[in-house]
Amino acid sequence: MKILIKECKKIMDIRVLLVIAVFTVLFYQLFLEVTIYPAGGQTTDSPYDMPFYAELIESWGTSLPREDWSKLDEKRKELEEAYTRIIAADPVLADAKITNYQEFSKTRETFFDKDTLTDEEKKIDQELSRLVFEDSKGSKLFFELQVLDRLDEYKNLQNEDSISLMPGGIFYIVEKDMRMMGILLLICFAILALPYLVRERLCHVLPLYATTATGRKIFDRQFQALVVCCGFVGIVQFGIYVLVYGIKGLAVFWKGDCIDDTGLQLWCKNLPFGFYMLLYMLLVFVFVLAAVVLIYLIGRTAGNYIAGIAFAIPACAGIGFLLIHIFVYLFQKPMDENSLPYSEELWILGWILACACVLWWKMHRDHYRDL
Amino acid sequence: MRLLQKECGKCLRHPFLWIVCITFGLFQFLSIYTYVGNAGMRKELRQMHVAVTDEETASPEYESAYADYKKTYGGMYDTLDMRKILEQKEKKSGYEPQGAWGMWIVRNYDRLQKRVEQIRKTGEGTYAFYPGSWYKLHSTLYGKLWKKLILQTAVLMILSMLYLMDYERIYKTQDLVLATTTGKKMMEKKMLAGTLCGLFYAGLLTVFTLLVFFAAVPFQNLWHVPVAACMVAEPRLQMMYPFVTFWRLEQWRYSLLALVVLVGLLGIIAAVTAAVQLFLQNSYFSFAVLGLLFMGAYLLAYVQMGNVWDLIREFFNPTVLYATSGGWFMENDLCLSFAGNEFAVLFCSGTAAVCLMAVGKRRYHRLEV
Repeated sequence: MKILIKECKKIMDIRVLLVIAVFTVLFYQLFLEVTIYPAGGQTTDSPYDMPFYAELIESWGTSLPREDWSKLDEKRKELEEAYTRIIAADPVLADAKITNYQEFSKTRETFFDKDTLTDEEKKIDQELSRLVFEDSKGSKLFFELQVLDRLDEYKNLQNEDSISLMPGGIFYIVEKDMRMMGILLLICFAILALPYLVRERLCHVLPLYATTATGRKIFDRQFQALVVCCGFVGIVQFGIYVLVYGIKGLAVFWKGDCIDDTGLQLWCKNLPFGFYMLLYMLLVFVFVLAAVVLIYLIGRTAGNYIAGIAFAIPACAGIGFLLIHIFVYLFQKPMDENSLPYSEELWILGWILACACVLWWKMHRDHYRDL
Repeated sequence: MRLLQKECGKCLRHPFLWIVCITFGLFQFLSIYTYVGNAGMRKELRQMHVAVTDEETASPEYESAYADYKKTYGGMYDTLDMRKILEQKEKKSGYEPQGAWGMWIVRNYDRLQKRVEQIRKTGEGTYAFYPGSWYKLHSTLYGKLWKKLILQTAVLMILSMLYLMDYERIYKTQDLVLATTTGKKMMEKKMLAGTLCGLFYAGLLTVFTLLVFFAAVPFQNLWHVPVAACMVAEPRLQMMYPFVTFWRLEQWRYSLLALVVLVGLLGIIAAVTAAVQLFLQNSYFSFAVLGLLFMGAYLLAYVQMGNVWDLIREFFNPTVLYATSGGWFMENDLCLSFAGNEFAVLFCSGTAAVCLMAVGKRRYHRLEV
């Protein structure tokens, strides 16, 4: 135990942890969807869609039963009245005798269908576009009304007794971010492990360890310490992600089911979304933690830091490629009926077995190698 | 000279950089295959190449599709107004600079309008090429692939330099080397050797990428087509208008200039790598710091203040060239839409990098043994 703690202290170098911290901040800014939320790109048209879904879920719950479908019409009426007030205050639209939301929508559709517009019509069209895309209040109301249109369409296609208020964007965020979190963890584990392992080789202590039976057990302790430290860093990283997720106001979606309004077909539709997200994180974490075996192998083989980085680049690229292709929409129903269900779990199991075999081979070699 | 040769040999003989170079080469191959290299796409490109260059032997289906495309987009210069493009870009991006800075940008676009008139007069926009909005060849090669190439060659350059510069410290012969004047001067030879080896690996990767790309995309009789031609145009920022280059640039000239900018960027990366390593004296942390530096600089490239500091910030930030790859030597970024902006960025960033390197060298020479 004492050796394990000492090795952990050697691995958790403050300079390395600082590099990981700064890297995490920059990675979040560059690659994670949760950072740019509620800006678009998450199968939404605007920054207003998903916060509006969150508002509806907070008011009505995560699904709306058939007897409460009239609430959608009431909400629509409320938004249209607010939009009408904005339209009524607009001088250009007042001159064009557009006084309410219905006339506004009809005029927009008419102009969209026309091939050419007169100068007067262009002026009105510009003002309509300004209210939709540039005026913050108008834009918000417009896209919220679009959400209600989408829910109405979904309602008409449904044979069930309720409709889900979960937006497709929430699944998009989780799917994209979990894959990026896997890449982040992989890079963090490599940053953590490589200097420690290469330093051991450069200090020429490995042959010393290998001369005694107790010394050869240190190799096991070193690997265990690496797994403990990487596990700790991984848990902290996911903790930070969950914290950012909560701060951004996305925690409200955790109580929803795994059904959305875009027809995403998941095997686990009766699971709460929060549990689905937890499973996603756990599987990504286990996958990347198994990859620590390969990083350990590279660190133990590399003769210097640059060689370690150079070998780690293709290895991490390969693991990242696997990760990105395995974790595409966890538990999604396969398009092809003959495809294997739960194929991700089989891939992960296979990956863990492969890493376990490599680990066993390395440990066996360390214990019995003739120097 | 002998020391330089030995240092280069050290770098070139070690297998790890070759492994990285080959990995990157495979990655580029896969990328090219995905974008333009699959069997269906190659067949289509060959047919379209015949339709573009030799109407007599072209398949009627491709000839008619090409003719329709040319009819729709072939006259874009007739109605092109760069002031309107500027207004739309400012609206879409939410970047509306005011005052003298705003006027300067407007003047740049007025100069671009003069260039548009020149293109109309000389007929530069009428050349035949693969339909841009269908195949997007320019943005595939000089945008997506070139960005990957910049990153990969940067990594190769950094690894080459750091391996050589930290070699003595890692193998504990630094004290011996620093004990003499010749030994202290060896670091300069190492930096040069690292740069040359980095350029060598980068050259290999670049040649491989271009060979594979042009094997998939037939380019015979198209090298003289100006990049400003209407048929080359691709949609950008939800607008369809041609690539308004600052001067007449044929495909071959554009490729050469893009290579020059790539080499310039690699030079800057070499200087910054040397500076960081001379300060930190630890290759591992130097690599990490360089990675963080470039990520931070890339994020900084998107910070907008709406005044002349945006231009100064972009001049001293080489990652701006990475972000605008695919839009070099033409109207592109609002702040950089003037002729020679790429070389201005290279010059300013390069000067800053060389100054940092000089400071690092002074520090290194004063190291106590």
